[in-house]
Amino acid sequence: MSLWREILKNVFKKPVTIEYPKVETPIEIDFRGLQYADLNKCNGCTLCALECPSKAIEMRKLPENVKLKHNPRGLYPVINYPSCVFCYRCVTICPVNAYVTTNEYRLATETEKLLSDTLSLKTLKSEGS
Amino acid sequence: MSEAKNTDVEPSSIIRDIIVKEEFVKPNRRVFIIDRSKIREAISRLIKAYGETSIYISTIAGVDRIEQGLMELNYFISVLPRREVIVLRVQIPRVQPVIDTLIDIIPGVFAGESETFDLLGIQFNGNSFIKRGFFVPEDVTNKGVYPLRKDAKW
Amino acid sequence: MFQKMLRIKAFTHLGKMQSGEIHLTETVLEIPISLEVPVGPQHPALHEPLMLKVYADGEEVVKVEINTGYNHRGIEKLFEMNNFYKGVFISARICGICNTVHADTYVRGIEQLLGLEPSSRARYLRVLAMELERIHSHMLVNAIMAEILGYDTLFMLIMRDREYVMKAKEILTGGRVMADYFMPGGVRRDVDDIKRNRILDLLKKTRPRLEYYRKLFETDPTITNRLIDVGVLKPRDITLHGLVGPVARGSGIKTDARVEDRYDAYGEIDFNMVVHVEGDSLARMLVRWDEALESLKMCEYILTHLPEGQAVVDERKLPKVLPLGEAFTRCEAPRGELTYYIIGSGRDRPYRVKVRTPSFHNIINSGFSYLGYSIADVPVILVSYDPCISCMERAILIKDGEKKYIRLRDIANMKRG
Repeated sequence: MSLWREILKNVFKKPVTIEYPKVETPIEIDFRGLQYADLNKCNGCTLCALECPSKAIEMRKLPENVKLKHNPRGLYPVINYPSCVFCYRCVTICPVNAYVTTNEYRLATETEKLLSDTLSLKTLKSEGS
Repeated sequence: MSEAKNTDVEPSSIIRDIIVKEEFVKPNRRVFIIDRSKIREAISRLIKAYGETSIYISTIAGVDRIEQGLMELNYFISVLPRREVIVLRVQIPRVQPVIDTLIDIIPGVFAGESETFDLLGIQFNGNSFIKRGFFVPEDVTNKGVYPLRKDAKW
Repeated sequence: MFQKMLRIKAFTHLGKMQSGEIHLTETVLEIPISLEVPVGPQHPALHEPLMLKVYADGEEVVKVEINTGYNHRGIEKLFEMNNFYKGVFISARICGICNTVHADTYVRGIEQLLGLEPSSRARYLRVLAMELERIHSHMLVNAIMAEILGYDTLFMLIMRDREYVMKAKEILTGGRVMADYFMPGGVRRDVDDIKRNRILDLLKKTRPRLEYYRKLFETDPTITNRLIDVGVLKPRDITLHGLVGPVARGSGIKTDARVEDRYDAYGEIDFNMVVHVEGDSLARMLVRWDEALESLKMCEYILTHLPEGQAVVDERKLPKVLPLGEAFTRCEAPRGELTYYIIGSGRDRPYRVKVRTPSFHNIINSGFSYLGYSIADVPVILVSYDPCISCMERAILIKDGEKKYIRLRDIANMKRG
């Protein structure tokens, strides 16, 4: 028995390769991709920074003009994506469910669009405060 | 090899006179603490009772108990006909840890003894194949440090 | 002295004697004829760095020395320096292709120390994740065996069909390779009806392909000519040297940690232990194909008989301290028997975690099995043991995070200078 029949069948079919970036790769909606904190819910408890296995989360002070009632300490988490292993421990340990999860896997783009603090601070502006 | 072996015999009955104490490891695995000079005798008796193809040494785990001044060496042995794992535990003084090797009875302890010597510093008498630097990189072995000891700093 | 010497008798001319005869004496020259052939650390036949010093006499192998340590990462010390929940993620990252079995064994050890019992639905889902990983791991090693024989068409075809199983794992756990799915007390995600039907469809597509490849491995002359009677291991060699997994089951030893310990849900699911008696490389590869077919049957049984209940555990309500005690858990990884020995300390960090992976014994203790075969058989024998070198070595060099900025220009100048 040999592979001849199999090879002849495959000669008349299209190639199996997904021609990225002309074609999008088919990915699940709940794939573990980029995550960032929603500052309307975060209360600055720093649990995510303590529990991160690869020490990728750093707590920074909010900008000067922003005062939030539910965040008395004024800290918000900033994730360093090159160190992050996307285990989602920060997402599951947060006591107020403040993390937004996406299925974005293309992390090699222009840096300004994908920095964690840009994404987190944008959540404040859309509420108009 | 043609003698019929009674492979269902209870393990503690084979080494009953050498056992010092019995303990348990979860979930329900029996631990037999024996004196460190009797380890070769215990293993030879177990092999003779069960046969060479029914028993193998699964893991050799060394533990550094710095508060008691001891190092413990655990031999996990899997007895195939009884489908259970028993543990033989020996205690060695921490200052100059030395024990007899088992490599001429069971050649399969080569990997376990090499790793224990390289990471914890326990010497095995009679084993000429082990050397430092098997796993640990050179800049750590040059300082004479055994990385897995509780007081190791480098 | 293992080195064979070639003895040549040569005649040296010393001069004429008085009687006119030419005086010749016999000298014996000794030339060592075994040549050291280093296989590794970088080698096209190996996928990870390992040094096999092979001493060969002509084409025949006379001695093999194994040198390891190129991938050592310090994981056992890392377990003692972090709290035991971070250990769940550290243990999954010891090996890329066996990450579910490492996480499952560690989590079961922690559960025994804490006294937690996962629900029935969680135990079935854990078995599902581990069996899906077994199927794609066995397909990978058979594809690599075809690749080193030079049979690239078969390698590409097996990898194309492996994509179905990777997609099934992505639907179940959220990641194609690294499934961070385990947590003490249960699992981290649940499965609903739509996902269940999609996974069942994918498994239905995989079954005829697995049967086709198994028949091909038994009958195709390209494979059988190079694999039959190569690397024969007798049952006595296996237990004395501690070899485990499909290597042992390919030589007639009936050992399988799933049958002996009946952990998670294996006590409630029906499956057969696959054993072949010939002991050569072809028997080991056929054991793996048969196991993949058994795993497929188990996955379909689990998906159609899932019990009700709560599978996802709330991670905010778990205990924070590991009590005193010791636990020894073992598990059947795709490569053999994997054992974890955990000692609790009464604080939030474990006192000692000892990991013994199957490749540790299978690769380091098997230097005796290459003797008497030719050099071209060395990669075939090595791949039939299923080497996973990152599983084998676990040590780190940590330097505290220093940040350095290096410009590309400087790197380019470094190469030229």
